[in-house]
Amino acid sequence: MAASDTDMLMGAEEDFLGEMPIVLSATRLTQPLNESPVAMTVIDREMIEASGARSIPDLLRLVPGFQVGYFDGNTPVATYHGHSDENSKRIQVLIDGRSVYLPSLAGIQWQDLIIGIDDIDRVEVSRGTNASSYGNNSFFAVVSIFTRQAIEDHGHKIKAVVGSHETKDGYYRFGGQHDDLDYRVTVGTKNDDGTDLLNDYTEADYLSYRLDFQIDNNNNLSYQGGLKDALYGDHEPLPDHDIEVASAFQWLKWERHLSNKHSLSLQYYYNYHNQEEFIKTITAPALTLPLPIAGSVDIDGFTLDSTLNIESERHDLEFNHRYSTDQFRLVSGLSARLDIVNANEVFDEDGTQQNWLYRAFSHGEYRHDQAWLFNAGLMIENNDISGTDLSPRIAIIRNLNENHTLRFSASQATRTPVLWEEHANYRLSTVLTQDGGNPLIQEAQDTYFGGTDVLTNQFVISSGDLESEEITSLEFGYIAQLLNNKLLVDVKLFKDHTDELIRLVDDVFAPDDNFDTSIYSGDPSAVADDFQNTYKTDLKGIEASIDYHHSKDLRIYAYYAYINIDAEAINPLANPADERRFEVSAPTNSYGLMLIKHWPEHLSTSLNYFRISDMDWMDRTGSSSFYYNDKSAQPYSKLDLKISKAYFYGQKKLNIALTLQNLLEDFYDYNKTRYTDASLTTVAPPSGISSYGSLQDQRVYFEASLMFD
Amino acid sequence: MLEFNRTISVQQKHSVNLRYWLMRLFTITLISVLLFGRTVSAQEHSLLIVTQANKSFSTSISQHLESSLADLNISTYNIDNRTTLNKNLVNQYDMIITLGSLAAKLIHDTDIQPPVLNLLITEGTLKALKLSHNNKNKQTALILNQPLKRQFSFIKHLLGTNISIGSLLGPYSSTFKNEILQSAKQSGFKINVVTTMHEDQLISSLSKLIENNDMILAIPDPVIFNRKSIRGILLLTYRNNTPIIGFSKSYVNAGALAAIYSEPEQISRQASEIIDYYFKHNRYEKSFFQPKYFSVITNNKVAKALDITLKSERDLIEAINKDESK
Repeated sequence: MAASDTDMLMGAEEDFLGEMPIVLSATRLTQPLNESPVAMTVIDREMIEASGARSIPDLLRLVPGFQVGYFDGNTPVATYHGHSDENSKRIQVLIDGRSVYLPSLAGIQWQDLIIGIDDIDRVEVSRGTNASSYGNNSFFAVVSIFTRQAIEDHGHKIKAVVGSHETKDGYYRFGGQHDDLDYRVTVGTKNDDGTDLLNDYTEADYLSYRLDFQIDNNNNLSYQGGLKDALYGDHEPLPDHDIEVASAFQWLKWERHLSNKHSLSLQYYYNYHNQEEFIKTITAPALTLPLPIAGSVDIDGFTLDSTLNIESERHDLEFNHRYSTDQFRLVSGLSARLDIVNANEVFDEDGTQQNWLYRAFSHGEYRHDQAWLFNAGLMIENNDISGTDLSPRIAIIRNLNENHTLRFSASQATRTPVLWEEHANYRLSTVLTQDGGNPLIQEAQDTYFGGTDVLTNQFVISSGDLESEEITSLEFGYIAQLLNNKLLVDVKLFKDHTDELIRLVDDVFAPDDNFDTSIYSGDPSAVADDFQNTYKTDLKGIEASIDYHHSKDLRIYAYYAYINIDAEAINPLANPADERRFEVSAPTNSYGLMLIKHWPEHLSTSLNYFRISDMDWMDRTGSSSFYYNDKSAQPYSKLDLKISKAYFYGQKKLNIALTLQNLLEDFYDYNKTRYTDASLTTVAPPSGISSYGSLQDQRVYFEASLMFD
Repeated sequence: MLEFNRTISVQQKHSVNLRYWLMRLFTITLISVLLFGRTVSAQEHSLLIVTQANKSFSTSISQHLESSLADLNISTYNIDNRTTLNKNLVNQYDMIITLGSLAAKLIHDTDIQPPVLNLLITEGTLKALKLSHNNKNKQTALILNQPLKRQFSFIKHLLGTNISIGSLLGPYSSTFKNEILQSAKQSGFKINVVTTMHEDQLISSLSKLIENNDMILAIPDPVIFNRKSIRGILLLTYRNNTPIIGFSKSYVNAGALAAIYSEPEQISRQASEIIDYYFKHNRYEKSFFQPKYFSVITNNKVAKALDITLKSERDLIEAINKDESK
C-alpha cells in the first residue's frame, strides 16, 4: 500500500470512535402517521414525480378533502374543506417552516411561491386544525413543504418542459460542497399562454439558493434566499393589462443540539411581495349640469385609472426548544412577527399599515405505554388587530395492537384578520374641474357632490374591530398498517364548527362616496363593501385513503372524501347569498387514484385519476341580489398519464418524460363563466367586459432532464 | 520535547499553573526513581500505554485498563504528530500498548524490544501497516471492526433475512469484498456491493444502491463513511425510507438505524485477557483479534419514522450470542 494510503488510514479509527454531527434530529424526522395528533397526508418524491404536476396546488389534488382549481391559467387555488375564494386564506402554507401566507390580501398566492418543484423533498399536509404546532392561521389545514437539503443536490441538473399552451419551462440547479458547507443554487423560468379563453399568460423567472453549514457536531446553520419576477395576464381580455409581481425572501435557521434530549433552534425570515395590478378605468365625458342660480356648469371630462400597487413585508423571529425522550416529547417556543403592508388607494393616510403579532406555544406528547399516547398543545397569540387568542388541542391515540390505531382529537384555532380586512379604505378619487381646468364652483359642489370638488368612488371601507375567525374541530381517526406495513389505511371522521367568518357585506355607509351613478357611468361601484364577521358554519364528513406499496415497482394510492357544510348568518348585514356560497364551497364527493409502476430498464408509468362532484368557489362575480344555483365548477373527471424513461451514461442521468393531462374531458375547475343572470342560469358574458372561465383542456407536455456531476 | 511521568497522563495544553505542578510532579518522580530505582518486581509486569493526547475514547480505555490490570504497573506516554520515540525509555517496559493508529505507527516504525498490543485501530489500518504480518510473539492487535458474521446475524435479528442488503465499498474496504459476499451468502442474505473509488461519486452510487435494496450496511472506509459524508448518506437513505446500519454509537446518534460496536470497557476487558495470556505463555494467541465483547444500539426515533418495529437491544444481543454459540 502506498504511503498516501497509509496516511489516509491514519486516524481511520476516528470514524468508529469520534463524534458525528446529528443529522436526523427530531425536527428532520417525520412523525409516524399513526402518532400524529391530526390526520396527515404525505406527498413524497415518488408521488411528486409521478404526478407530472407543474404547480404545488396540482400536487394537493392528491390530498383527500382538498379542492384545487384554476381561477385563471396563472392563478391556481387550493383549499381544504371549501370556504375559499381566489385567495386560499383558511389554510396555512409553510416552506421549511417559513409561512408564505400573504399579510396583504390574505392567503396564499401559489403562483408566486419561490420554489422549483424539483427542489421539493416532500409535502406534509396536516389535514386539520393544528395551530399549537404550526402557528396562527393553521385553520383548516397546514401544507408544510420541505425542500431538500443542499447536500442532497450535489452536481448539476438541467431540465426543460415544453408543451400545450406555449409552455416553456426551464430549470437549472447546481450544488456542491466546500468543507462543512453545502450549497445549492437554482434558477428557473416558467412560461405559458394560460387558458384558451382568457388573457392569463405567465412569464416568471426565479432564483433561489440554499446553504447548509455544519458549524460543529452540535450546531448547524441553514440559510436560504430567493427572488422571483413575474408578469401575468390579468384575466380580462383587454390588452396591455398585466399583473407585475416581484417577490423575495431570506431565511436563516440555527439549530443547536444540547444533548440527545434537548435541542434549540432560532429562525428568522423575511418575505417581500409587491404586486402591481390594473383594476379598472372610469371614463367620464364632459357634461353640463343645471344649477338653480348659476344656470348650469360645464364639468370637464376625466379618465380615472385604478392601478393597485400592494407591497407587503413580513419579518418573523422564532425561538424553539425541543425535549425528547422515548416517553416524552415537548416542543415549546416564542415568536414575534411584524407585517407591513403598503398600498396606495387601499389604506388611509400614507397607505401603510402594520400588525405586530406575538406568539407563545407548547405542544407535547406523553407515551403512557405501547397502547396509549397522549398529545396536548396550546398557543397563545396576541396581535394588533384582534387582541389575544388561544388555540388549544388535545389528542388521544390508542394503539389497539401494532397494526391498528385509533385517534381522537379536539382542537381550537383562529384566523387573524389581515390588514386588508381590518383597514381597507379602497377608493378612487379625482378633483373635478370646469370650463377647461378651472376650479368647480361652490354651487355645483353643494348641489351634486356633497360640498366638495373631490369626486370619490368608494369600493371597500372596513369598519374595523374584526374578531378573529374561530374553529372548533373534533376528529376521530383510524389507521391500519397491514400486509407487513405495505398497506396503509387512513380514515378520518370529522365535525368542525367555525364562527366569526369574515366576508364582505354590501351597502355600508361610505361617508365620502359622492359618486352618483345617475350622473356618471362607466364601471363604478354603486355601493361600498365592508368586511365583517358574518357567518358560522358546521362541517362534517369522512375521508379515507389507502397507500399500498405492493413492491418497489408498484404502488397504488387512492382516496375518497365526503363533506357536508351548513352555514348560518350571525350578522344582520350578512350577504344572504353567502349562505349558499359557503354550503357549496366544497364538493360533496371527491375521489382520486394514483397508480405508479416502474418497469425494467428504468421505465416508469403513472396514472392519476380524479373525480370531483360539483361545487362553487366563494367569489363568483355578479350581483348579490340572487343566488348561484349553477355551481361553476361542474362535476368533472380528470385523467392524467405520465411515462418516463431514464438513461445512464456513467455518472450522467438523462430522463425523458411525456405527460398527458385531462384525457377524459375538458372541464372547468373554477369558473365556467364569470356571469350568471337573474334567472340563475349561466350566460355568455357581455362582449368586451369579461370572458369565459379557465378551460382545462387536453394537454401534452414533454420533459427532458440531465443530471451530471 | 515530551514530558513524561509514571502516574499521570500529560495534557498538551498547559496553563502556567498546570505547568508548574507538572514540573513539581516531574521532579518528585525523578527523585523517586533516583532514590528507589524501578520498583517493578519480576512478577509485577510494567506496561506502557502509548496514546494520543486529548482523545476521550483513549482516556476511557486507559482508565479501564488501569483498573482491570491493577496488579500491573501502568504508565502512559502521550504523543502527537511530532513525537519521536525515546527507544531506551520504551525498552524498559514489559509490554507496549498502543491506542490509535498514530501510536501504532510510531511504535511500528521504531525498532523496540517489548511485545506490542495495538488497540483502537481498524482492520484497514492493520493491513496498511502490515501489523498482522509481524511475529505474533511480539505483536498483536485488537481491531475495532466487528466480525462480518456477527454483523449479518445482527441484521437478521433486526430486519429479518428476507431483505436485500446494499453495501457501498470504497478504495480501502473493497479489499474485503469477497469476504463480505461470502459471509452474506452464508448468512442467507442477498447482497449487492458497489465500489466507489472517489468521494465525488458517493451520492450517485449510493442512490443506485438504495433503488435496488432494502437496507444499507455501512462498511468502514475513511473515503466513504466519514464525518463529512455522514450528512449526505444519512439524509439520502432516510429520504428513501432505507435504513442504514452503522458501525459506531455516534453513527446511530447521528441518525443511523442501528449499530453493533464495542464499548471501551469491552475492549479493555478483551485487552486484559490478551495481556494475561501473553504473560502466561510469553506469546500472543493470535496475530490479531476481532472484538469478542460487543454492544448494540438502536435509534427508536428513526425506526419509528421509517415504520420499523425493533427488538430491544438486550434481546438483540441475546439472539446474536445464541447464533455465535452454535
